[in-house]
Amino acid sequence: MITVKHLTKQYIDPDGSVFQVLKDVNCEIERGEVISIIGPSGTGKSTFLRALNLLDPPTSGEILWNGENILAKGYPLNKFRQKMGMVFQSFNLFEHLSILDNVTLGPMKLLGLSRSQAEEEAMTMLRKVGMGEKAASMPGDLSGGQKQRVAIARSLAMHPDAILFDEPTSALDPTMVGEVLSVMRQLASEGMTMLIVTHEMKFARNVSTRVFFMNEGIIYEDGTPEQIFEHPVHSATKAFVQRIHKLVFEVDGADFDMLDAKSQMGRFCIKYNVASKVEAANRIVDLMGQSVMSRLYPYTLRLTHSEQTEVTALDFMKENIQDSPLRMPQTDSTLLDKLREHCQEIVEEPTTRGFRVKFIL
Amino acid sequence: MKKILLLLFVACMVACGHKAEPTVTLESEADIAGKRVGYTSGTIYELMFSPRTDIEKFSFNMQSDAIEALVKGQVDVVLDDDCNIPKDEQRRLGVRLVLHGEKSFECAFAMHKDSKALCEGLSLFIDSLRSTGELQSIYNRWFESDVPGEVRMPDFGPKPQGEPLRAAMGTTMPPVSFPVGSEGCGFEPEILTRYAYSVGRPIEIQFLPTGSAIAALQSKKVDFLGGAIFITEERQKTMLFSASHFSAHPGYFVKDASMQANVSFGDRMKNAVKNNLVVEDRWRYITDGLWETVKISVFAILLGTVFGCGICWMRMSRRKWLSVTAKVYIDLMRGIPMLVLLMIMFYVVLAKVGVGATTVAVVAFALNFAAYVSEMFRTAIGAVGKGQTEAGLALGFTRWQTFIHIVAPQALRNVMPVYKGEAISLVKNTSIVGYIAIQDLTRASDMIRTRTFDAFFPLLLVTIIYFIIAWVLGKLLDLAIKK
Repeated sequence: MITVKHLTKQYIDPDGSVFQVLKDVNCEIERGEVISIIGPSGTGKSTFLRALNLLDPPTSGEILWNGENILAKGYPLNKFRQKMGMVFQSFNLFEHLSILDNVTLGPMKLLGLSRSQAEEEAMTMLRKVGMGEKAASMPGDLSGGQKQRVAIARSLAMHPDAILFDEPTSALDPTMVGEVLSVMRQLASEGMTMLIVTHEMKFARNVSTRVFFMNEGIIYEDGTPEQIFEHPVHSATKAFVQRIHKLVFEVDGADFDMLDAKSQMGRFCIKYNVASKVEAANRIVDLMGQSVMSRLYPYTLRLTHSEQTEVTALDFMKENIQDSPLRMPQTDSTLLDKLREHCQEIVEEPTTRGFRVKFIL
Repeated sequence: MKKILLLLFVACMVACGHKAEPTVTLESEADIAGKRVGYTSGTIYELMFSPRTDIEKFSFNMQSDAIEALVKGQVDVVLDDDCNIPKDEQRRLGVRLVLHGEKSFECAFAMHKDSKALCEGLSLFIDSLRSTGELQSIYNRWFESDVPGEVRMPDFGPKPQGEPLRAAMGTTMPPVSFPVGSEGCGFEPEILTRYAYSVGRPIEIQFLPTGSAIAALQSKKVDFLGGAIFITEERQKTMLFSASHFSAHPGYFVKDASMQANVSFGDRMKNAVKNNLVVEDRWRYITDGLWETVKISVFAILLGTVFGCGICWMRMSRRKWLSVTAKVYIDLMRGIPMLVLLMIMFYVVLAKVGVGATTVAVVAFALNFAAYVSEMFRTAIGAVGKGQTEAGLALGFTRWQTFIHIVAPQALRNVMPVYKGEAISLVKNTSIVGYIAIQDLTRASDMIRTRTFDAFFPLLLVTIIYFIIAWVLGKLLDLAIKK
């Protein structure tokens, strides 16, 4: 239905510097697919979506809609947009029109429906999203969730072949997210083709048929929800879906400011709500630093926390060694016991470039 | 509305309260030193007194304003032709002629430098009137009457066909020249009419502020300039003068409280209504003036709004040269005083095109209005969120459809309050069109004032009428918003 080839988009700042948002996006979307587009912010998810209906025309590439290139000169863009609905983060209901008129405007002016036909159909759509009662209200009188449901009804009234959702729940307060998602879930079950930029991981996982993980201006990983969420191929995908946060230090010698590193680790733990683990981390850093690691400069110290699994870990990594630093001959035999007092588990594992000791805090 | 009118009324009453003041005494011309001296701008008196530093000078646009200021005690002495305020008017107003100037001045009609033949013809005609003694008898009839303001033009016989001669009167004062209805009346109009008829042409006489009358002559919109125009050397450099038709003596007028009759307020109002409205059907000035004001306002607002939309579109255009042109236009229009723009349009830009003064006024006000409202429209359109346009486009509307169905209705609602203010402001600004010979509402009150020397009543009347126009316009626009 939609084929995207080598799509790029760059912005030129007023100072002349070029900012490449989309580097090379390629994908194939079939009728009836529900695709969630996830990824860190600033990686081009919304830009990609807005490029699809040319609200932000791409710099180069091809977008084929049922085999026709919509970027070709003279392509009837407005007809195409009638078939490609869009729901915005900020709702964008027409402020001067009642809820009913918001929904009937397009069908009346663009599809040539009579007022009575359009209103009848609009009421059907509004009831479908649970907004039948509010037909006579003005947008200003509605809550965010209600506005977004009306915006969905407005899109549906044009009988689109596909609908683009640009972070439809990001501007909502948490109590209203559910009502909008359930409308979207219902649409998905009816077979509507949907592309959804979202931060709602649970929704992406349970409702979509496919997930695009976007990163650095490309579709970094594309697969079923199971593939993306359970068995991500790329580490960036994994870090994102498990919501892993990292703090990394390159400890290059005895002069390294370990006190500063500790205070940063303290802030990191507080930020991710694991302040109770600060003490343990400090003790392990001290024990390791005073013994084995002082012989292994330079090495890498890394603190990670996954919001998904709620696992906090402290890693010591050294390149170009095959054995665990803890098993070196000079090591104090009581060290391991002391370390174990401060952590749940110690994992010693070789990596592609060296060796890692991981402390699960 | 009722309350406001009442308040206005009370304020006027307070302003009108007379105070007894000592009468100024003048023994000789030298005595005016140190006094507050009023005169009409553009007259010989301005030339005489403007270099003097020992007096406080007040230059008024109209003779009647100077007299009014004298009556109200804002000036001590008013200089005017001694024949200008008839005895009965002096009594009524409570002013008195106390001294005649020593020097007299010759008055004549002025013409454009290029009108040599016309000038010679008129001069010959005046000379022949003088030699037959007819000039003197015309003079006597107008000037020696007890109530000069009520002398009327004689019957000249059938009006000739053909291209009319046009005259502008720079001052309005009986019995020299004054309007009755839409016709010129008085000593000078009689001479000009006689001359015009003698060459087989009709004549049109209009009354203008002095400066505008001179501009009208110089841009050849009229053939003659009259209104007790003195012959001076300086003026002779720029225009031609006919033979002199009378000589005027300067007169020094002062306030004389003892002469003012004590009349009750009710009678004063009754007299005011009679003098200002009933006599000579003077209410026609008001109704005609009102019609002009309404006509100019309505067309200027309509044309200006359409034009303003165009300017707004240019200003918002992505094409640089269009938006720069619009910006220059807006800055230019906002930088020129409306009166100056109006005069330039009438006497310079559109002088040769041959369109009527009303059309010029409509165009000038529309140009100015467009500059202001275009910026209002731009701000109002800018205030409609970008998301509204995006939502329209995403539904499949074209850019133009999005603007018409989605952006414009919202912008209109944003802009209405300021637009309403600007429209009302335009109506009030039209009060300056008198400078280009249009008899609008303000000018109507001027015309009545020059005849009745009563500032209070005509001004109060037009104040109320302007207020009502503004109020009605506001209501109409409110109604339009609701629609």
